[in-house]
Amino acid sequence: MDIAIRRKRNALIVSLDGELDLATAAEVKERVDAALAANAKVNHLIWDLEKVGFIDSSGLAVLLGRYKEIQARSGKVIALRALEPVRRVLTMAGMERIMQFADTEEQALAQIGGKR
Amino acid sequence: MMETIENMVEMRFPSKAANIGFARTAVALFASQLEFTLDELDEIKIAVSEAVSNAVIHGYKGTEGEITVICRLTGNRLEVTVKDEGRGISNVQQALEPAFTTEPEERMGLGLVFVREYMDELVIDSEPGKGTCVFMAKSPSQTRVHS
Ligand SMILES: Nc1ncnc2c1ncn2[C@@H]1O[C@H](COP(=O)(O)OP(=O)(O)OP(=O)(O)O)[C@@H](O)[C@H]1O
Ligand SMILES: [Mg+2]
Repeated sequence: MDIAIRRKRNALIVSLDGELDLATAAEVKERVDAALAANAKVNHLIWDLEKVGFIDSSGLAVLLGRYKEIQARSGKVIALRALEPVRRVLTMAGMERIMQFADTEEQALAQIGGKR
Repeated sequence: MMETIENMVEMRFPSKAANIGFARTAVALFASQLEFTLDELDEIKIAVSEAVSNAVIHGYKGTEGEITVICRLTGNRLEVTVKDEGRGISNVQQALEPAFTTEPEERMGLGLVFVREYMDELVIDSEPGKGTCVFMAKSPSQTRVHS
């Protein structure tokens, strides 16, 4: 799993490249948690899922766990560019109740609002 | 009458998370001998991933054991069996309930819900202390194209 994390305004953008399952969940969890801990001012989380071809319940648990942290910071979680198969799994798990979907980074940033 | 087994593959591997991707991809490749759509192959991948992950996470919890995955084609139907010799499930009915998990801090209890949703058939045979056998089957939704 390739994980790239950058900050844009008060959001963390996490770009994943690989399959999000039990084999990769721990690494993603650790990297994102460390970035969140190091960026106390960040309150939104954008998952760029363009290069994630597979997700299962172990991957969903990673997304849900980070949602709890973002919720504590009164922020939003966005799923950016999720491919159709991944989107279906997210929807089936009811994740649209805790995260919004976006097709472009601009759209994602607009969805979290103009705060900086 | 006994159904003829048209093809069969058996895989055995240690319960390492790194093998889960191999197992689901191999089963999907095997399944593509039937007329499954790409969406259905994705569903099969998820079901296999969930069953094998459960064997790793719950079956062998922290220890390492052997997982066996058997794929069969009988007629127009794919059958997949995932077996472990781990701790087993004391209440299978409860394990199948949506959101039921024995690890509420870490997990959501969605795995078996996905398997039930994505496969036509799911039968779990388990004995505490002995292990778990998860049987799943699925047929392609579209009718077979004869060439
Ligand atoms: N192979 C297995 N060996 C032992 N227990 C199992 C096995 N498979 C499932 N279970 C039990 O059944 C419960 C429900 O399984 P299920 O896959 O639905 O949820 P989960 O694995 O706990 O969470 P998630 O799949 O969302 O990560 C598990 O919590 C576990 O107690
Ligand atoms: Mg599970």
